Amino acid sequence: MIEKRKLVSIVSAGNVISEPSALEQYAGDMSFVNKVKPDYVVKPRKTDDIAKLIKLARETSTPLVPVSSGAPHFRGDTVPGVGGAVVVDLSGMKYIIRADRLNRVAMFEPGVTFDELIPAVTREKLRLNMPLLPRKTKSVAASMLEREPVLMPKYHWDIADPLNCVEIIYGSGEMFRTGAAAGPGSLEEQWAAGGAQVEAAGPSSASWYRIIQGSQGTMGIVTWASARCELLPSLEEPFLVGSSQLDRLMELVHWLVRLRIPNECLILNNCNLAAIMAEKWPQDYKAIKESLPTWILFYNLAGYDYLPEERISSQVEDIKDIAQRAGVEPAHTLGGVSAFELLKVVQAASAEPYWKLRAKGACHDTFFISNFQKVGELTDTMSGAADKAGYPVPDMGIYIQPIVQGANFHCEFNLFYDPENARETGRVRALATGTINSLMARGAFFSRPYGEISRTIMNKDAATVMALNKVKMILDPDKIMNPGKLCF
Amino acid sequence: MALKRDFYKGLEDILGPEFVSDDPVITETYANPVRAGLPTGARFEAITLPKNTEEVQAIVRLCNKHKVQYKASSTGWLYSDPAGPNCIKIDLRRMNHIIEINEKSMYAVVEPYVIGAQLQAECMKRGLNCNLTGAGSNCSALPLAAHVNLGHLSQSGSYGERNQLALEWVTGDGEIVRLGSLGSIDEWFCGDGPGPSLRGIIRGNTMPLGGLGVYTKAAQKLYHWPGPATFPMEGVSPKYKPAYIPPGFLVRYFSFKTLDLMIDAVLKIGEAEIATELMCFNAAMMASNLATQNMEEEIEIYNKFKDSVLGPGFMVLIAADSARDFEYKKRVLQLIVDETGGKALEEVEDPENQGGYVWRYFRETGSIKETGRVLAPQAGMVGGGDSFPLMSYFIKSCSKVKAKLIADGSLFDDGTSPFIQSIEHGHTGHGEVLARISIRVKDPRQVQRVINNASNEIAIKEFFGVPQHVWSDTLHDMYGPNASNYHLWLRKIKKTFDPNNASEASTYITAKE
Repeated sequence: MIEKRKLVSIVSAGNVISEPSALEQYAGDMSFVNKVKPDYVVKPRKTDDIAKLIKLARETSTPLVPVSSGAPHFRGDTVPGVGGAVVVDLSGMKYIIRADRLNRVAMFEPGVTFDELIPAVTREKLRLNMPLLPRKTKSVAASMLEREPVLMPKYHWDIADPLNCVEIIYGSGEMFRTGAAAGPGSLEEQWAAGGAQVEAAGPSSASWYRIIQGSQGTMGIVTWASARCELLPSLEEPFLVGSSQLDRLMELVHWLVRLRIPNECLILNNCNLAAIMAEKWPQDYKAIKESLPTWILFYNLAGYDYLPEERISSQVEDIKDIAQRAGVEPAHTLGGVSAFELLKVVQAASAEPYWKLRAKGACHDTFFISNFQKVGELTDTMSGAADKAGYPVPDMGIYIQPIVQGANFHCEFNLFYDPENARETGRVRALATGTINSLMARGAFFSRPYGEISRTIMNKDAATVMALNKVKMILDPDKIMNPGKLCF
Repeated sequence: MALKRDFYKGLEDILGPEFVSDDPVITETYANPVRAGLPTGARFEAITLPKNTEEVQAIVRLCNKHKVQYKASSTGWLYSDPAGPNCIKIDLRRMNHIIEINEKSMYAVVEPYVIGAQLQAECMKRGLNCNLTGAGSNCSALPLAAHVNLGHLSQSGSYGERNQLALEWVTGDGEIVRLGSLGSIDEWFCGDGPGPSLRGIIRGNTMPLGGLGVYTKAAQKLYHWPGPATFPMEGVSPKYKPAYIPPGFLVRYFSFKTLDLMIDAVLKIGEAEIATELMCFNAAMMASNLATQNMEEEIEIYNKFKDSVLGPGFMVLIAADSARDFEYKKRVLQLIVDETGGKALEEVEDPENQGGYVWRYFRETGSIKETGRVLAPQAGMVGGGDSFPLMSYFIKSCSKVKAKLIADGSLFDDGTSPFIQSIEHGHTGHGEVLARISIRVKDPRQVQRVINNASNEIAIKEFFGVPQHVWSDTLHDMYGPNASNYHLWLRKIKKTFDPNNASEASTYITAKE
């Protein structure tokens, strides 16, 4: 049992929370994982605080649960998996260390949200490769560490993007910097030499950032991260393409991404696009949804410093040929939605209330990765399962995001429900857990398993579980970091 | 030290007698890796030729049981294949199948002995291309086989660490781990997860070079190819005449008065996303690439080129997807070159020369000539990776050593302009010092040692990162304390996944305390 006074000695009294009502906020989230109340919540202010907290946790065998984003949480990874835990709330670490136009990179602490980082990089004429409408409180570092899909597949060379380097205190208590940040030299010395912490791999024959990503805080606590940024376009022209047939849009997406033409490029169903664009509920939502075809492709053309008009006009003409072959027609408006309005919306964090909560107050996401050929069948499988479970299929949001420059597709099904309605909640919960095996059998890869389903998914691959546990023993030998998550 | 007969019998039982040999006539042929110099030291105790993953696993387990070391390699190159006592060779040449080319999801799955030229030829028939390692298209196409896997296409096609998708790995102690979607659902499209990515331990920006088990199959990303399915070719080796320039293709070479002007141009071209390839070759590398046969011809071309360039320069290759795209990219290139004061090397624009450059740069048939050159021992230093400017300054710093060695006659005078390359449209960079030791030098290794010592000192003292020539305990132990003690963590990986030290690791890191 950890003593409060020892926590106070590290982070000061004002940054240790022990009031039951406050602890209750960290005991559960909007996922279906069981509630477990932490013993304390601590709010470190700097790297040194974190190092001391980990040292103390090792001495007292206290589980630590790192949290970077503010509430509401959705995936259960920040809910303690065992009793007696201390939540390490990093949301107050908000220093933006650097935004570097020349090398297209930004560096920041884990508490920095998208709304806070976007203006800072915009001042340097840079932009982030954003996930789809993150909530206001979402930490940028956490989003990258969770390998969340991003909207611009042409700039998503690797599934780890846009994460570059991190500084981490491993569960073993040792500080480590990944990639080019490792050294030689301090960050300041590296900057002076011309370095920018943009090389994520290494040093040498290991890429530690990949082990930290996707680990849900089970390896250590990240104290800063650097993110690859892209240039702010000088000109943009977005388009919408509608179809009742997903395969037609997929064909167009394949060629758009293969030729690396658009920046933002994603497919939504009418339910999700209406949920994103509606301002007045439910009338706007219904009207927009009814005005749209089942599937909508959104893409955005961009020009930069040199001949932006010529670049975009050339791309528009090239896309006409591709779209014609796919049997679809791009336009600036579709139904009640303007492509320019949608562009503004997706280049920022979600307005309040968070877009996934607007319909019914709660939402469960089922998501996985697959390849081009399997997206259609997996969408049908999920729709069939929803229908069988009694979930109204037309109310299910669907988001398909090409990632890794078209080698992968993130498929996401948003199950909106009323959390006050026990029957509805139970139905969604059963659907969320009951479809995993049938989706996997048809080519769904759950690369980011959270909450209740993670054991089912991890157990499909015993060799990987064994190897991951060996790595865990290297980095967190006392198993103090977020126990109970994934296969740990 | 002869192998115990029960161990050798075990190998025969796994492979059949025809695919294992300890005949000195055979083992001797493996004792001379490319360009390691003659004579070499120890031979492998035996050579094995497995045909699939199960046989590899069985050999690895047998080695662990009998405390015999093994060294696996595919096409093999340079330093990464040290033989030694009590060590057998796992030669993967029978594992030479292209398993899948997925056109719509743009990835390919290969076994280790598929070479780059072979995979690329199949890809090009399908309108796709793959990143080839800079070592040349005769090297393995497995993204895990090459030391780094950077290549000419890295401007638009990245490199091995980032092109890697799912893979199959026989660990040092003989477990088979299938990373990513392969382990979960038997698909090749993703190498990361579920949860943390084991890609993080099987390679970094460099490879373990056979020191951490055996990689038996791997998937990698592919890229769009707007060119022909095959290049028409005239002439016979070495005087091929690949004079065809596909529509929408263009090669140019520009030099600049200063390194900073060149860096400015490289970064602007990267941001404009107009180049398919961009390599900051110097005049000597451009000459080597064009020369077909002997030193005299190469020197003649070099002398012409060196008098035509202003200073540091780069080769830029555009491969456009449409006529409109080509016009746009050409115009932007010209604007950037005008802004930065670039001077074109006219010989490159000659249609016959240009066709040859296109072919050699895409097919990577000229890599050895560009980097190692011919008819002389090669020397040099492989830098690291971070921002393009950092790598440029690093190589510039190291080039001072080269200048001194040229002045004292140890190296041929092929100039000191740095070789740097832009990766992912300028997001990152990499650089190398390439030199040619004078044939009058009695101990070429001493020249290499001077370059090594100087570049290591510069990298550490001037904060240029951990170079990619850092392999072996000695070098890791030198750099590690200056770089987050990474060597200690690397050593833990080695110990954890190869507890019996069976996977020979003198070019990776050993599990010493």
